Amino acid sequence: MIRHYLKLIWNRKRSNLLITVEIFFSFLVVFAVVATAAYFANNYRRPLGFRIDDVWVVNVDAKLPESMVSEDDAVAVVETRRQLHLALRELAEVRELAGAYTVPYGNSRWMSSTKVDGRSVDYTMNGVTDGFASVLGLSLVRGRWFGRDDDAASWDPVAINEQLAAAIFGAADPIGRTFPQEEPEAGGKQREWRVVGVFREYRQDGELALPENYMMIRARPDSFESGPALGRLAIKVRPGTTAAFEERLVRHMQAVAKNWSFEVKPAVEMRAERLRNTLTPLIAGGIVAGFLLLMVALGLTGVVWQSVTQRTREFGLRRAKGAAIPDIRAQILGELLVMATIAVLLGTAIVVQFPLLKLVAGVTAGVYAASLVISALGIYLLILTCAWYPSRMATSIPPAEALHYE
Amino acid sequence: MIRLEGIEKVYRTERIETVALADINLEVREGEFVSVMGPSGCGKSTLLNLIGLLDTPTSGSVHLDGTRIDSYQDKALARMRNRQIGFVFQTFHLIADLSVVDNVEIPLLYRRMAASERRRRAIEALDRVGLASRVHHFPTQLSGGQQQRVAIARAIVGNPRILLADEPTGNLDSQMGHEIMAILKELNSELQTTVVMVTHDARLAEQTTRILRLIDGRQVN
Repeated sequence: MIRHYLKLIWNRKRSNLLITVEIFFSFLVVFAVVATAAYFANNYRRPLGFRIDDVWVVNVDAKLPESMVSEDDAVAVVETRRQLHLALRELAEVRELAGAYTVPYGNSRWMSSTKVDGRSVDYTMNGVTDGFASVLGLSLVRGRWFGRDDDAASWDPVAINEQLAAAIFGAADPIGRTFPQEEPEAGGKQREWRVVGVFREYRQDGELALPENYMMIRARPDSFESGPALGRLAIKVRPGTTAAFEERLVRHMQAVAKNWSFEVKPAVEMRAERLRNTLTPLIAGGIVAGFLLLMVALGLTGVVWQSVTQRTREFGLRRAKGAAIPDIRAQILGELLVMATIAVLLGTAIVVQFPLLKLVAGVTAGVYAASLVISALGIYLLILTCAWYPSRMATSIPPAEALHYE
Repeated sequence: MIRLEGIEKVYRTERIETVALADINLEVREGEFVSVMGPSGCGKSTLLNLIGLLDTPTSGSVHLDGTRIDSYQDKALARMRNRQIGFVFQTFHLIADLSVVDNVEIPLLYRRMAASERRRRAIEALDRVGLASRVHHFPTQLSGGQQQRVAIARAIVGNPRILLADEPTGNLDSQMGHEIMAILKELNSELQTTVVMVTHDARLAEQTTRILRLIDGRQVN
């Protein structure tokens, strides 16, 4: 029977081309939507690497001049910062505190790279104070977190995530090993990072972001050079702390640093904002794609209906020759499924170029494969839905009447 | 073999009720060649459709080999049409997008049969009607008479016991008409196929074993 369908489809190729093209483009649209959704879903189920429950974030603006800071100003900033940290620790609601260049769901990003065996390894880095891992519940899998023991060290201690450890050191134990920092300025000395700890994961941009190479360097509150690293404060508050604490917190900080400004936000709000910012365009795209598919579905239903109507006499003849109602419906659906399969195969030939040529970074072959299967099933479901009513219409006319249908 | 009892067929629309057939009682014996005659609109085709299970009577019953079959479900009716009955239509009803042999194979598609066997039987049927050399032609490449011969091949490819022909020569010139009639007679005499043929042509009807006349949907003796 399939051969019979193929013959009919081929012999009616001009009228069937439109349907096949329509299904082909629908498949690409469905694939784009599904692949995007699968990409984010795949990221979502990976470990995040940190916890933000009861974590509040303070953006600290020390109002430093854009030009060179004088030595006196630098000393004043360091002293104010020290007092600020001491003052915050006095608050009963504050359990732990850390400074950071950026925090989870923050918009800042610090990129760097290193050369390993002649190849470049890119990574995202963050300058954080010693309490950062504790505030955000980072789980160390090897070594230790940096701390006061490193005050006298002649090297720069860092903690890196497992992905970066694998990218630089492969299967070797990275603890105690070093790798070069970025190229020094002319005449400068090449400095190195020394790995003291490895943490499992840290996806700074949150649940929907792809895992990335990540490194935390030690920032010291008593060093002016670490100033940028203290532009954010991550505060772990006691469970049950209410929003009313925000006002008291700001007042408390303002009392210590009168000319500085502070903006306080619970990390869960930052997370919600980030998810909203990421998902809104996706949802908008999904809705547009949904309407597009609805248009396609209506168009396809119309085309199938017209085709079925034009073939009423043929179906009458087939019933006269022994086809039962299910045979006719199976023929209508079968022909469409054959056309859908041709369209899906053509679409697949295009879609597989993406992983083969690595056209989109970060999307795994698994995501592509799952998206392909889901999209193909979606298209088949769409086809069956569109053809269902016309196929019923085709068999609603008695064969004697169908044979004389004009 | 075929028995119609008290058949009535009424077509109803919102305003009009048309009686197409009334009080038809008919018996066709196995191996008979019956022609049905009558003026246009007298119900000849309706009668053939009822015998061929393409339509259901408003009242009355259709029996085949003593079994009432008009109340069968769609699948059983389809099976009867496929196995027992062959149809030939005035307008041929060939599928223009299929080749001659593919058209002839159609009834066999609805049986469990290997493709090679289907093809063999279709070619054999075409050979019987003298069209073995046209198997890969398309209907539009054939004359009217050749198209009707393809339609006959399609009707007999499944070896039906009953052949129903609805004005099979109506669209053909007299020469072609006689050729088609010769084929039908041959099928009737050689294969013992029961033939019921609707015709306007008295000369063709005279060649059959029995003539049934209809006027205004009623049998005329």
